[in-house]
Amino acid sequence: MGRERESERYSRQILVPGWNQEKLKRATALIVGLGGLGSASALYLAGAGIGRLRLCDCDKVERSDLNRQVLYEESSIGSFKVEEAGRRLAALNPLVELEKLNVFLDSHTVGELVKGCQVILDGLDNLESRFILNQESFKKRIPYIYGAVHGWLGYAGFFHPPQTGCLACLMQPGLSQPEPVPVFGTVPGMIGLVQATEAIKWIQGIAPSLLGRLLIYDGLHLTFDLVNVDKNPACPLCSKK
Amino acid sequence: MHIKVKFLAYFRDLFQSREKIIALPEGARLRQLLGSLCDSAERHKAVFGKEESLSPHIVIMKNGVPVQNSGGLDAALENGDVIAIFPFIGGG
Repeated sequence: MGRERESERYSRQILVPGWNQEKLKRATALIVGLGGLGSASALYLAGAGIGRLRLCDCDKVERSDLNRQVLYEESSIGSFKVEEAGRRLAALNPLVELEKLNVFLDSHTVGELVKGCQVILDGLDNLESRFILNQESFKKRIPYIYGAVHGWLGYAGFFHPPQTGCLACLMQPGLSQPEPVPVFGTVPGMIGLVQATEAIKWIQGIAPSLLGRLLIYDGLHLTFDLVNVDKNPACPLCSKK
Repeated sequence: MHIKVKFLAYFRDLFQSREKIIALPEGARLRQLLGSLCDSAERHKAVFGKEESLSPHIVIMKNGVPVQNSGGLDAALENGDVIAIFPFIGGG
């Protein structure tokens, strides 16, 4: 695609005060988990023209995903999410370089997954994997944009120690949750878009509004609360020197 | 002393309040505060886990600092402290 078409594609967003398309073009973002959260953030980061999207998920699309995972359609059922997501995102914006990693996140794979990225977006559905990602984010000093949903509720936060606390400041490992988690489409959609917004701001050098804060979104009462999350001096991860 | 408690997410429905000011004797700890708030079986179950420990499914912050690793139910309270309570969620 020529330079002219590229300019045309982004012509509306470059009018936004403070926007820096070149910075976005040079950036790599990792999205771990291509479910309801990851679908929303991936679509909008690709649409905005991020340089490279690293997509990580080892699941296949199921019919019960389709109420909220907007990257997929009926014909995607049974296919690997990274492949289907890759197809959809490439069709949306061929200028974005896509790395499709059909990899299970664990303590052995996480190091390679985060390598070279500027920001990590959490699209996960369990706390154990989130702690692994949080730990690696702390170790490599790459900001971690947390997202989680349940029913009408959605949370988002931007963790970047030592500037802020981390996920382990807030929650303890080993928590269980009901399976399947009740969720409908707009809640992870809303949170995924907040995560994408914060990622774009960070990449462009604009201070993320969720730095050291937790957004609590309640779709039932349509409330948005911001809770300051200070560093926990007893955090088992980020309080250690 | 007086402690401000902020309820977030579905705890607002459970406690039928966004915010409460609770009067407690000097030297009271978080356990007493939560005990006075949890005046029904449903509220008690949402806040306390096994053997009267803090449920792992909630997050409680004192003046912006999570209490989970720093004192838990035995965290000391002072006049003017702000306690925020919300549930842990983990879906994606």
